[in-house]
Amino acid sequence: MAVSEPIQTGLKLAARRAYERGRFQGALWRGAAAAILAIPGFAVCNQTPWAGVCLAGFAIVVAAGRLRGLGYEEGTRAGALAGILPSLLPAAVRAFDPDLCVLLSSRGPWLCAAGGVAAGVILARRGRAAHGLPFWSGALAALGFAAALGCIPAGALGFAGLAAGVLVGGAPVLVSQRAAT
Amino acid sequence: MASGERGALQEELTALARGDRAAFDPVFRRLWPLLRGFAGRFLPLEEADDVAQEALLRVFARSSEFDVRRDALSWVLSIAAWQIRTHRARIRRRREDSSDAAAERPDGGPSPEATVLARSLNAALDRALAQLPAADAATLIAYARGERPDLPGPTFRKRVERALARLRARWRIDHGSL
Repeated sequence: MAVSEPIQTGLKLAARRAYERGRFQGALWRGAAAAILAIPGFAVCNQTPWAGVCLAGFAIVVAAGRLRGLGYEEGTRAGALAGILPSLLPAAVRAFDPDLCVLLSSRGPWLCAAGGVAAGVILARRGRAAHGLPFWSGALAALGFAAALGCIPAGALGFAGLAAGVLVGGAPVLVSQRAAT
Repeated sequence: MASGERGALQEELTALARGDRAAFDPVFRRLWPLLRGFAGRFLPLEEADDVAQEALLRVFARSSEFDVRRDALSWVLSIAAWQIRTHRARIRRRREDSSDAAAERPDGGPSPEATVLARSLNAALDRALAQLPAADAATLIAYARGERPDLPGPTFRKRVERALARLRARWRIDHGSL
């Protein structure tokens, strides 16, 4: 039994819409999950407008990566995973000792640098299988927004520490991987 | 499905799950005949196509959730099987609802008692008419049907009155009252 061409074309269009709708719903869920995961970094140490922008940016980047798929999705997933530690570290420190958070933030970039090192290692390891601009742009955007949540209280020095930490943590892993291949 | 095709479906669905839109056309071309055939094995032809379409849309809507470690063909057919089960349940419910409604619905007709009473009255009237002269019975039947014989109006009216008077008299004799 043959199905007429217009019916098959209509069905194909409906199937494509269903696919895109499914991806969009998945993107909303993933963006919401990312925001919920990063909320402690915003709520505990850092309730400023810029932090709100970073929180929203993080959720949007993760959702957009999921919607677009391929390298962008892999990159934002890796970036979110890597960025969660620098985002939540100050909140965790404050939960342990409320004064320590303020002290560490005001005394220099060390908290952000420590989070950056962990993020660099994670990112470099995850980036082993997926190279290219889509992966790295997605990963750095997600990492940037997430990590900024934790580093805003430390100011510019905190961001410098974060960047240095990412380089220090990620470069050896990337170099060793390059040497192994 | 041959193992080569099965492997190709696995690769294409994996690509689609990762967001590779280029895999959409090959997956569509592979899945549509597969799902139609699968639904056709369990449902009548006219229902099979509808269910296959619903299953196809559901597969595409959920393809981003596809776990690439799973077997793609089994995953697709499990969605189709669920859709077939849902369709059958829906049909069964609809049949049950319609039979319940038919049992509850009043048909607007007379009750059995009224039908029996009307039937016995008609029989009694037929008997009374049969006992009248043939010309009177014909006049009353024509009057009841709204027919007008080829007579002047006053003449016909008088004949009707006379026939009715005789019918009443006959009825009183047989049944005691009118």
